[in-house]
Amino acid sequence: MIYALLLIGLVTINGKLLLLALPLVFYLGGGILYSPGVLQLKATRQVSSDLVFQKKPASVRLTVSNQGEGLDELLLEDTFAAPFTVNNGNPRQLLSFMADEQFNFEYTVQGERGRYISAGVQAIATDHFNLFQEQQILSIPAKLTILPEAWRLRPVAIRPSNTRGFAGPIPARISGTGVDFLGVREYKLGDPMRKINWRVSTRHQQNLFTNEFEQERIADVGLILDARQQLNLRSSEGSLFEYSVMATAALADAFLNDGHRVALLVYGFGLDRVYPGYGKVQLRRILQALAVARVGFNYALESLNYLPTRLFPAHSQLVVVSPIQVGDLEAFVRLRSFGYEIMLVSPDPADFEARSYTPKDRMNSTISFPLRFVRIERTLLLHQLRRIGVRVVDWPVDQPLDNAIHSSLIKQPLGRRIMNL
Amino acid sequence: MSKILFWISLILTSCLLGSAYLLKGIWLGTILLLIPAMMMIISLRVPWSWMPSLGLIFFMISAAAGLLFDLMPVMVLAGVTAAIITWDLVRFQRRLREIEQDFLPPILEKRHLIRLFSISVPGFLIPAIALQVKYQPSFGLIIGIVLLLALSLSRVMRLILKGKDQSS
Repeated sequence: MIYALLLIGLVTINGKLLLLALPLVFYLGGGILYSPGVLQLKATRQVSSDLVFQKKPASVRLTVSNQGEGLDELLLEDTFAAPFTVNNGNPRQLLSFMADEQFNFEYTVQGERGRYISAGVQAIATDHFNLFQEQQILSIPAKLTILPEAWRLRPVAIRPSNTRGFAGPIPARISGTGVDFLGVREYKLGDPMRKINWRVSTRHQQNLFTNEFEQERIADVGLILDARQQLNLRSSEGSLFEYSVMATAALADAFLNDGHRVALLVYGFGLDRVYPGYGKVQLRRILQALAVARVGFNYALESLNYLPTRLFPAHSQLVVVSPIQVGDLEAFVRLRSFGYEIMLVSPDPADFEARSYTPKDRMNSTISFPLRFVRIERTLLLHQLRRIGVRVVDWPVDQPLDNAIHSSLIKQPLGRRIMNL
Repeated sequence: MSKILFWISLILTSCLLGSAYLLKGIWLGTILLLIPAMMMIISLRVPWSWMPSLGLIFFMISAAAGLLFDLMPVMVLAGVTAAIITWDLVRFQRRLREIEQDFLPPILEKRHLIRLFSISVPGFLIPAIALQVKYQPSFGLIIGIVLLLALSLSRVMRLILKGKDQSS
């Protein structure tokens, strides 16, 4: 514009046009005079916690100090907040920053499960007229892991063949301290009087008999999360895999609360494992592994036939969380033949898909017929799995998992079943 | 505060330039000034970053055309200064809206306004005083000054564009 005015002023030899350019020249001159120099900023960031549960907020506090000359306008943008929803505060701040001044600001964020690593804070200094800019990226690495929500479940009854040598909730078929009656044996010196079985003892004149109770122990539980991409469904309600992750987290919490030794295997793109362990520390490890679990496609792991069973102790309990497909039956048969007790928690993909359609669309034969076919196929598969001794929990994901587990398992008693192929 | 000043400067720009045209009896000029005025108002809300600059260009064109039509130079100069203030305040408001900052430090706005007026006042007064001076420089001198200005400006533009590339 200045050029144009100068040119027109020259061509028309009109001094007033040249003078008209002067306010613009002054404006530009003001920008040049007060343009920012090289930035000398230092920043630190504090996150309330490295590990936060989903739907729980994390607060981030940033402190920036200016060790250089004063800045007319400084825009600070914390790139850490980019993947999250900001609840309170603002990760972008525009301020006027004097030399040796310090500025603090805080905001809270919430996000989906995952591990987030931040590069730093972007600082853009400009003059008041926003004509000249200087930029600096303040590198402040930070990490935040958002753990999946672990629903509270009632104790889940399991009965693997093998148990471990510590007290727990599972009847171990050996005598010891417990509450379930196991049998009677001959009285030995030192046995408590209250344990004598007087009824049996009266039938034998010379001997006394003592009640024996079944010892209750903990077991090894292997959680297997199916992360194969071909089984994942996405709809407007989200991803079916997210429900599988939350179910796995809830089951891990329930089994660890009962004192069992729990391991995790995420089977999909690769094999991500958490070695067996106990207690809150193990729960934290499992939740951290679930936080970064993603669906993936791997030709080598297309079916469950390649499950590495050596990861799990022989005759232990396996809990598989998977929508499953027809080709997986063979894998379950193989696992049962190795002596594993298996529980399958299966989020219902047909029901999940159906809920993404309106009731009117569901009446349409192009949608209702394939859905019915899929449901029949799934019902048949689950029935076959029950016949080979797998305890199946068919879970429509709009219902609480706790109700689905207990209503399904109540119909499937514990104990050995004869494999009926 | 900056929003109020925006409205004041916009009304001032329109009134000064419009009155200058009215005094000469050029009604069309006054009516056409509504276009850049509406552009400035709309640019507060729309995301198009070119809108305020286009509004300023229209104001400058109307001012330059007004000088060619021999309008009162002081009124035109005052109108142009007010147009530059309006343009700057629109850009400032847009920047604040993009950042979505709940609380703006009052000192930031105050410093911005002080800087703007400290540049705009001499930017108006010096040319206004120069208008009173009856001095006819030689053509060569004019060419020399203009060339010098053009060279300086081209360097400045290069600096501005370099800064914008770095930020993008």
